[in-house]
Amino acid sequence: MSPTRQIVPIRATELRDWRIVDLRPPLIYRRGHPQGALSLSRDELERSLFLLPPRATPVAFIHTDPGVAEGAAVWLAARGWRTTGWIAAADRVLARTTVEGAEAVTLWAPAETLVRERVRLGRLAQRARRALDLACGSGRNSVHLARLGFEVTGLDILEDALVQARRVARSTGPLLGAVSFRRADLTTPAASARWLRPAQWNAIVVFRYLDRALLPRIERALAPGGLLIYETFLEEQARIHGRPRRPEFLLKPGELRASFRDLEIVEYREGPDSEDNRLATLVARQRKKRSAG
Amino acid sequence: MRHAWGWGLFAGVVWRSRMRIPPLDWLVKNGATVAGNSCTIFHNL
Repeated sequence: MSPTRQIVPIRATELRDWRIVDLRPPLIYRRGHPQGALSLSRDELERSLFLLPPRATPVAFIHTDPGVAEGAAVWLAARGWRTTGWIAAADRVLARTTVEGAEAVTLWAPAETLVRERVRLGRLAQRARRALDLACGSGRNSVHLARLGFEVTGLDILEDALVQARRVARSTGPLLGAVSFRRADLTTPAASARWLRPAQWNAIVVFRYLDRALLPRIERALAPGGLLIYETFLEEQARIHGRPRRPEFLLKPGELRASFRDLEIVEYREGPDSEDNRLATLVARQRKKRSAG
Repeated sequence: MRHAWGWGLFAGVVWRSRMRIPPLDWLVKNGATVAGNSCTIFHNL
């Protein structure tokens, strides 16, 4: 695989092929903006990457000042977004866009694995709704689960991540289920006793987090028939991308499957995702009855 | 006369719907600058 840079004229496409971020002040945005455009100021943009779509999705910025719009496009491209573009137009021109007022816009996407598993998760949520998102970060996966109908608890040790997560939940439209975010340090016995009680959850998702000491507790915390979706980095990730570097955060080949061998494995794979991260992914179900011994 | 009103209304509805996401050509005609992009394509050599 070899990266090559190619310039494609934005005018060869149409605006609907792009995800749009409107960098103008919110008051001006509400007078008229393209449908589906997310309102973010230039300052907010730097703190709000978690609200943007995956790096493979084209993102275009709108502002009245070409310098600001182009600056944002170049800034985002430097952060790994593959296709960025910009549009500079006078407010009076953009005000003729017929979408007025505020709009609940969701540009972010949950983990690819959760999108792939949405049918299985949706079926489960119809009968068993308690879900845990362990190390939830900015909460996109938690909110996705709540959209599918789960009553989700998202846990993270970082207060900043929880602030972002609550913002993601607020900026999303109505949820079929519900979501709440709590600060917890699961390395402490008190927190793991509270949040990982036996058979406490119908679904547990863990993305990009590894604490080997917790794995047996996670398995026991799944109720009979409950679903575990676990995805995190393989050792190969450090060799290719440099991060995460510490061996305690990296899985050996086959390790994730072996760690949950008492569960019924629905799916297991190791390899690159669409952004070339080297991941192990496990989808497993708690057996209805525990095997003896 | 009634026909003219009808066609006018129809054209208005079409225009408003089209302008929910304004066409780039229309933006450019009205003085917008539509430019810039960088695209990295991964391919097998």
